[in-house]
Amino acid sequence: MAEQERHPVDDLLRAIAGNVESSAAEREYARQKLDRAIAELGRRQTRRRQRVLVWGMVFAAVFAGVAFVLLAAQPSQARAAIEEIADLVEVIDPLAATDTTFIYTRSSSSALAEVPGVALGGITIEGDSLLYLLNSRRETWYGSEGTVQMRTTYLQPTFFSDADRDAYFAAGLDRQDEIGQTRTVTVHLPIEEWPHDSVALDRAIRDRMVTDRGLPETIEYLDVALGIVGESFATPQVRASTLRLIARLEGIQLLGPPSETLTFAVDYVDKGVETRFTITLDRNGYLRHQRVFNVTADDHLGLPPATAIYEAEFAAPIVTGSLD
Amino acid sequence: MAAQPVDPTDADVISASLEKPSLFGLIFTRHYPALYNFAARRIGRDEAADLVADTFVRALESRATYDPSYPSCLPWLYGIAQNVIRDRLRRVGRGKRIYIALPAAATEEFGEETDDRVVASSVATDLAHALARLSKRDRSTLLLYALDGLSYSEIALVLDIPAGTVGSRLNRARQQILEAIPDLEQRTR
Repeated sequence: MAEQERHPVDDLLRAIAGNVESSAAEREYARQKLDRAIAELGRRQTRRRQRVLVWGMVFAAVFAGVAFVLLAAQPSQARAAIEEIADLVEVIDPLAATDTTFIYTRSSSSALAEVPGVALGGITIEGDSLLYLLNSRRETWYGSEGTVQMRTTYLQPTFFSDADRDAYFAAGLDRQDEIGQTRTVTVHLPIEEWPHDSVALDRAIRDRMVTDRGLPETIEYLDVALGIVGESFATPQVRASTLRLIARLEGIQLLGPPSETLTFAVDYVDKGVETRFTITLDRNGYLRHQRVFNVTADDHLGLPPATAIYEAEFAAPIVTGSLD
Repeated sequence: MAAQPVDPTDADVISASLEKPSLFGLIFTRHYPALYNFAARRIGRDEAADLVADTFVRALESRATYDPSYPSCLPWLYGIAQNVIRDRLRRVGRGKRIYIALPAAATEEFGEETDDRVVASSVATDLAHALARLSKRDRSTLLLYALDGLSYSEIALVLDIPAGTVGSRLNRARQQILEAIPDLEQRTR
């Protein structure tokens, strides 16, 4: 808003009128009225498209002598919400690095680490393995030609018990994990050209999927697809196409109402443990949060229900001229 | 120097919503609070939410007419809201209500200190009378500038007048109010 010159009449008006806050109920009422209008508009557009499609099919049937049945499928809530973000992503001006600027991203993550007892150099532990959450913070600078600088800081791990903590330090794992250290590496990664076309993109994702981890196909697919969404080199069209493919995945569900961010989940079974994978995207289609946790107890690893075995939080990328 | 990721402008969202109407919900998310304020100050809280809802529905239906050279659609929404207010007042014959809402809000807004409240109520009543005596055009210009924080060019868009006219209307409105309440500055000091 532009800087305004001050005038006593304006000041008085502002002081008297104050700021009038809407109640949540009023907001909800107004939103519902708009949503009904949007739904009606959507139905009208669908009917128009169907009429066009039906006439096209009638002509095709006349020529080919084939009868068609038009089946309309109601997209799920999750699908509609993700596709809405994909539509927005497509119209956003993409972030771009230049010769002197970089796309900068920052994330912090926590991942389950498992060290077999036999690898602890004679330190005895209660179970077969020592479990802990390895925490790290990473900053990444993407250059225009595929040059990537990554700075990773390894933070103090999170332990499940004091005994685990003692065993960890006694076995010298803190040195092995470089706790407290910051490492900066610069690598040159070829800029991957993902196809825009959804059929070709789907094929490319499937080609890249890992298939020998015993995880459901949906999870492996998501793993690759989220890599594309999170990859700062991907064009808005590729990111939008990837989101639309994610939207069509089996079992994807929306958690909570859509707002400035959108969280969705996939439930699956990993080695007999019911597991949930949640993903949060912002309105620009950037990945903001990921979490994998076991819904039921993991008897094999001895983890109680609702233990997060992987969690990562991502800041929205920005363009910067600094590599510090 | 860091640049933030570029959020889609209102123009981007409205353009995309032509194909995908549900995207218009983002316009609601962005501008509901400002539009509610706009409505509540002009016709009172009782009808504000309903007016805002009608404004968004009307905006949804006429989004194809939005000029995408304006990145923010708030002035456009204010313009639609003005029309919705006008239609309603015409329908129910309550032309005076538009400025009566102002002092009514005042007595609630001025906190616990009795002296302040008395002064505020008295000034507010005088201000309401002075506003009532302004021409409708001058009053709209003043309210859009002082209460809604619009720039001259945005007001010109809302009222569909040349930008140069905004300044003269604004000055005239302020002058007339100062003439109606000559001790305004002393009474509010």
